Amino acid sequence: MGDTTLWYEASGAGHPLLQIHGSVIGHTNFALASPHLAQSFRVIDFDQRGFGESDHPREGYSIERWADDAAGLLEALGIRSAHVHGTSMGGLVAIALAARHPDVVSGLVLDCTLARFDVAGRINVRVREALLSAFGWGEEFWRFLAIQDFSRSFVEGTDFPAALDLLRSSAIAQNVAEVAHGIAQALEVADVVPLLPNVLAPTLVMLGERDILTPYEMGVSGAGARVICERIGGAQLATVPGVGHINLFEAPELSASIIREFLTPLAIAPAL
Amino acid sequence: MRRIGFETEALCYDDRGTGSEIVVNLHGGFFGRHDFQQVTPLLVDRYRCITPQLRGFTSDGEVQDATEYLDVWIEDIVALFDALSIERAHIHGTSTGGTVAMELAAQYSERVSGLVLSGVVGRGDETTAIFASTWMKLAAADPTGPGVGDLMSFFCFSRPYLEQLSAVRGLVEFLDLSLPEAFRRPELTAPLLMHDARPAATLIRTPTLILSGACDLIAPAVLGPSGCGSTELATLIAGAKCVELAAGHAMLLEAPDAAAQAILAFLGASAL
Repeated sequence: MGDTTLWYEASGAGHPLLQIHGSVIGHTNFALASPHLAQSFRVIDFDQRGFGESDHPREGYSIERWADDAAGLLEALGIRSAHVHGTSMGGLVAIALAARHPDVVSGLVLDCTLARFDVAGRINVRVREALLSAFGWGEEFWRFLAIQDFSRSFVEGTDFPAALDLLRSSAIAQNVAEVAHGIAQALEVADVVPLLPNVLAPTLVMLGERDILTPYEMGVSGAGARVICERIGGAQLATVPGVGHINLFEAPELSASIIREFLTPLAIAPAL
Repeated sequence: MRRIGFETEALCYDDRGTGSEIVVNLHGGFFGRHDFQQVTPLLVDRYRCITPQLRGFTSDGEVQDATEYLDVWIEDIVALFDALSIERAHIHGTSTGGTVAMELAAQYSERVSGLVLSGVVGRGDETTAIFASTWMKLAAADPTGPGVGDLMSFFCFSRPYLEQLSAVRGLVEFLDLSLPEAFRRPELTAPLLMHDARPAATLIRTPTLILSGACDLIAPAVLGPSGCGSTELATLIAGAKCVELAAGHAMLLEAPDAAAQAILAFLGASAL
C-alpha cells in the first residue's frame, strides 16, 4: 500500500470476506472463526499497518488510513466487491471503509465495536498504556486484557488457557512502544459517527451479551451498538449469549454461523 | 474525626446524627471512609451514623496484608461499641467492608440488629483474582502515576457516572479524595476480595439487606463458577432481601439517594 507492506492470507472459496481485526491482537483475532467462515466464503485475513507481520511505521495511524489500506488491499487483489467483517477497532475501520468506498462493500458485519469512545473507553486506553509501561508485553498485561475481553465464566473454563495463549501470541508483541502508543492515540480520538449515515451496505451489528468493553449502551459521549443500529439504515442486531468482548474466541462456531446466515442471502455483484 | 485510643493506636471515626438507633459504617478499600460521604447526610435525620476509619488506612508506615487485618478490624469495631457504650447497632459494610461486616455479624450476632451489605461478594472468582493482582502489581510498579486511578475508575464506576464525573467535577480531583490512603494500598484490600465469607454468611441470623450495582464490574451479582456473587450470597443468608441499584461498584457515591431510600425502608421495617 504505497510505502507500506501488508501481510494477508486467503482461505476458502466463494464471495470474498475481508476481515479487519481489533487493536492489540492482529489477524489472530480470526484464528478460530475463519475455518468456519471459509466453508462459505473466500476469507481474507490480514494484519493492518502497525500489527503482526505487516509493516510497523512509527507514525501516521488513523482509522481513515487503515480503511484506505483495506480498500487498497482489495484493489491489489483484483477484488471489486467484498463482504467486510470488522471486529472491535476493526469495526471502526470497517465503518470508514464502507462509508468512504461504498461500491466495494457488499455486506457489512460490525462485531463487538463502537463508533466513538465514551469516557470509560478513553480511560481504559490509558489503563492499557499504563500497564504496558509498567510491565511491557508481560503476563500481567495479557491476563488483564483477558478479564476485560472474556466473560467471567470463560476465564474459568477449559478453553481459557488456549485462548490466553492465542491472545498472547498476537504479533503486535513485536511492536515498539512508539507504534503501540500511536495506535492507542488513533483509537482514543477516533470518531466515525458522522460516517454512519453514509454506510449503504446491508449491515449486521453483533456483540457479546457480557461485553464490558463495547456494550450496547455506552456513556453519552460515546457511540456503541445502539447508536450504530440507529444511524445505519436497516441495520440488524444480533447478541451472542453469555460471552464477552471477543465473541470470536468464546463462541467461534456460533458467531460464524450468525455471520454466515446474515451474509449468504445478500444479493451481490460479481466480485472480480 | 474523633479518636479513641486503644493499646497500640487510635481509631478515628466520624459520628453524626442523633437518632436513638445507630448505624456503624464499614468502608471498603477503594475509597476508604469516603465511601459514606454522600449517603450519610441522607440518613442522619433518622440515625446516628458512626464511620470508623479501619486500622491500616490511617497509617503512613508499612501495612499488613488484609487477611492479617480481618480479625483486627472485627475486634476494633467491637471495642468501639464498648468504648461508646453501644450495646447493639445496625452495621453497613460496603465492598470489602461488607466482608468484615459478615464476619462480625456471624461472630457477634448479639451486637448487630440489622445488616446492610453493598457491593459485596461471598468470595471473588478468578476474574476478581486477576483484577486484584493487576491492581497490586500496578500500584507497586508505579505508585505515583495516574494508572492506578484510571484502573479503579474503569472498574468502580458505571459509564454514565464516569461521564458526570468527567464533565462536572473532574475525575482526578474526585479521586484525590481517597489518595493515597486506599487506592495505593491494595494490600489492605485486594486479598480480602478472595476471602471466603460463605461459611460466615450461613451463620448470620440478623435481618439483612444486600444492595448490588447493576453495572458493578468488581462485585457483580453473578460471578464465575469459582466465586460467590450477591445473588448466591442472598441464598446463604436466611431471609436476606436484595435491591439492585442503577450504579457501578461505588454505588454509595454514585446513587446515594437510591441507596439511602433502600436503607431507610429496610431499617425502618418493623421486623428490626
